[in-house]
Amino acid sequence: MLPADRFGRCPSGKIVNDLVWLAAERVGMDTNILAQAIISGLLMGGVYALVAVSLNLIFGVMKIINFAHGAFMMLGMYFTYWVSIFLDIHPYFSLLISMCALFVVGFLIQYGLINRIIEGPEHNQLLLTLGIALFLENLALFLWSPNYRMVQVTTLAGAMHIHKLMFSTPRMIAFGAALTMTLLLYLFLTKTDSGKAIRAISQDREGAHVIGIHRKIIYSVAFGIGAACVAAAGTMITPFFYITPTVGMVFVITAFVIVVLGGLGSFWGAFFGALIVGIAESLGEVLLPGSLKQVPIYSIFILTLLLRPKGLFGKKHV
Amino acid sequence: MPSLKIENLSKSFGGLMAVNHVTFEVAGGEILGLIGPNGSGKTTLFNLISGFLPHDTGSIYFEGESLVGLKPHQICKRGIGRTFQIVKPFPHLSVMRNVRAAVFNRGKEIKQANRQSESLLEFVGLWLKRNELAGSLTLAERKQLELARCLATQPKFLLLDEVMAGLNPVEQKQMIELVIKIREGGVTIIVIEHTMRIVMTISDRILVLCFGEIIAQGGPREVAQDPDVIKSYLGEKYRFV
Amino acid sequence: MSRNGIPKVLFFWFGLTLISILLPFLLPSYFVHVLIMILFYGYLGTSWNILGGYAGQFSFGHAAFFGIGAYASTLAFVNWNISPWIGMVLGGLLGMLLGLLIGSLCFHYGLRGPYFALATLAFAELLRLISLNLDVTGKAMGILIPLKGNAPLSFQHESKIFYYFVILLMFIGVLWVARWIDTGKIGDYLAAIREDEDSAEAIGVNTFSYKLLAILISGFLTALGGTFYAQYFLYIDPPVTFGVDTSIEIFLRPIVGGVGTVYGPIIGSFVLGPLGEVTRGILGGYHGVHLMIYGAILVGVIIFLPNGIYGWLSSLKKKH
Repeated sequence: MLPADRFGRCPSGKIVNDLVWLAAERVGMDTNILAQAIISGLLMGGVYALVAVSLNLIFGVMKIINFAHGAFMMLGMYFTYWVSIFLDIHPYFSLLISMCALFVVGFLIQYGLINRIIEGPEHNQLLLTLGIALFLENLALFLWSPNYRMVQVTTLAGAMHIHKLMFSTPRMIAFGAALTMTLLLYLFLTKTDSGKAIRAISQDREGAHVIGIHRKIIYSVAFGIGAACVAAAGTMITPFFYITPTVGMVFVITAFVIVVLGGLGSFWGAFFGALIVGIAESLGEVLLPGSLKQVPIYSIFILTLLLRPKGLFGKKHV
Repeated sequence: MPSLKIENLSKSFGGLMAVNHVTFEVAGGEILGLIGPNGSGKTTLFNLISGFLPHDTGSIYFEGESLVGLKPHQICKRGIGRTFQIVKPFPHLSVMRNVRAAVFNRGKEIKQANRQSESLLEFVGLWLKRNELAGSLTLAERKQLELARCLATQPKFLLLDEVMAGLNPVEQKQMIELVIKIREGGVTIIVIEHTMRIVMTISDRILVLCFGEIIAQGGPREVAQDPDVIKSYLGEKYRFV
Repeated sequence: MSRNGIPKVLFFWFGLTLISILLPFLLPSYFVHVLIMILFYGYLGTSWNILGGYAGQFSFGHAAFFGIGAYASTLAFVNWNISPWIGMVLGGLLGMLLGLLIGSLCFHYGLRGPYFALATLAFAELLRLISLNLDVTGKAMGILIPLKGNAPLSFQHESKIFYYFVILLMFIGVLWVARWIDTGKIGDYLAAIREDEDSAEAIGVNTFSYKLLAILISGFLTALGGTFYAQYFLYIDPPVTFGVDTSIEIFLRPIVGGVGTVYGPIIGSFVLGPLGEVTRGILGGYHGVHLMIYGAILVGVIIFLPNGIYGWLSSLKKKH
């Protein structure tokens, strides 16, 4: 197939087209498959971006590595599942409810549990969030069994076909929603007073030896927002992702890789890191057999930790 | 042969010259006072000598051998000990164990290590507190502990970083006596201090650092009357009587 | 001292030894199994503790060593008929090599705290993925160890009592190693590294070498545990050997019982073991449900008993 066929007259499109063609030839695979892989990777990357950026928020503000982030996403997904079944509505409509619910959960966890040990050694915080993750994931296992569940959608399902490439509608919506949320979060942090207060608190850690109630509440709000965002990501992927108690685990590890790659504490690092990882994972899926698709991700993770712990855009010294 | 010889030593952090082509020597058995305003590079100089920071250019020779590229524990084994500006004891270990860990630098036998630790604690005056957790000590006691730990490695050269800071006059007097006793044992010492009275009293010579450069060196009286020093550091009101 | 001059402590140890030897013969099979599991995780926990507790480097990926030991001895037995006892030592050596690899990389680049923990997790996951995709390791189906009946020389027996004594001896061995490390130069050096690495360097501790030593010993011992597991359950697969859950089960006991103490891991094991069994009995069903309780306990311990159960008991003793 001639390069000109695909993207028509658009010049940048033609450049992309040529690059894809070259890459496909190199690897010896169908350009279609390669292009498709890049697209699905990019779409998923958008979702990863929301997960990573919210994880990054929690780390940036409180220096907490939140192992329970995946569990929050899982809870958001189950929440959406039950709400959409009981109220017989499209899962997208449960977005606000699941976000509010997880905000409360996050707030309470930070306020009641994490705040108590926030002055202590770092590894304690890691263990605490791990304990919370263990508890939540296995509670879900106990309550709802490991059986995979799926939300059935009839509207806004299906796919669009453009130039022989398939764009799955739910994935596009998830991508769009995730990007919107990410942007909203960014605007919140940079333009609103509360957002600025949260960022101010994160800059000034050396001052307080005893954290006052003011700081405790801000931490809890930040944590709640992080949880709400990742729950939103969960809600948006329910139309095309199986729901099971351990679904969060993969996401949280991927999010760690992204945040470390992009640079702990860097918002845009997490964002672009997510897109890169999304595409890398998707390409890995096409090029490598079986579950080996995660090998490049873990390898990138280790290499980043070893060689450039600040990540690609990191500001804060690790 | 001088004990320590530093030639053209430089270190910069992202464009800022923390230590700028510093050259000086320290003779064996002398106490060299190192003074200068905050941020003048004194602690950075200590970090460079003790191996905690890699240098950019220049050389560091101790007893004729280069220290460049060595890791801190290797430099300690060569005979250079240091204290930290913010004391770093091992908080959850007993005072005894704090010192003993350092004593093991020179020997493996447990009973002997215990004995040596006890005598070192006696020397600095902490023997009564030997079974207390290091984290529960007062600031003065922690400084004594840090000194004991340093001495346990049997150093020939000591880098003392603001060892008097935060102590009351009585504690300071005790510390000064300790430092003098150590020098009498044949140890060469560089002392970083901010309290002028102390520096002038115990130092044989003084080095003045400002913005990473040496602006004066010599005996205490000389330095105190040096116009550059008075302008940039001491202020016009200071008089050494 | 009791009246006839024999110290009470001796009675205690004698009694304990007697009980340990007689117990498996007196208890029904299920309880022997529970005891074996308690000693097993106590063994693994103590091995982990050498790196995590003494040296202060928390590893979240100890399953890597565990799995390598399990697969090494199993593959040697299944493919070349090498006795699992020899395979165990082989596995231990491989565990040591793995520790050398992971340790050299991580410590050379100065990974500490949570970053080291995450790196070890990544290594374990890599091994899991590799074993999941290699034919040689049986992929997802894992490997079944062929039944040999009563064959102690092939590390197999139909009665649990055999396994009980093996793990009891292994545990006593690892306890001895832990005590030997704890008292003396290595113990002081590791403690110094744990408390403040910079300070340790300043007093002449080669922090890189000693951390490496800790991971070598820990890796070796943990790998031996992997072989025991393989021979006891006679089946291994990637998730059970290299999985995150396994890593978590390994470090949970020391943390609950008391990190950095000699007896912390076994205390933690005596608490978590029966608790896990009871939970599984009551809540039944799905694999991993007991982890819910473990998670809650972990949260509780971190907040209320940061020095673990042993630390809490010690502080109670001090008050008297």
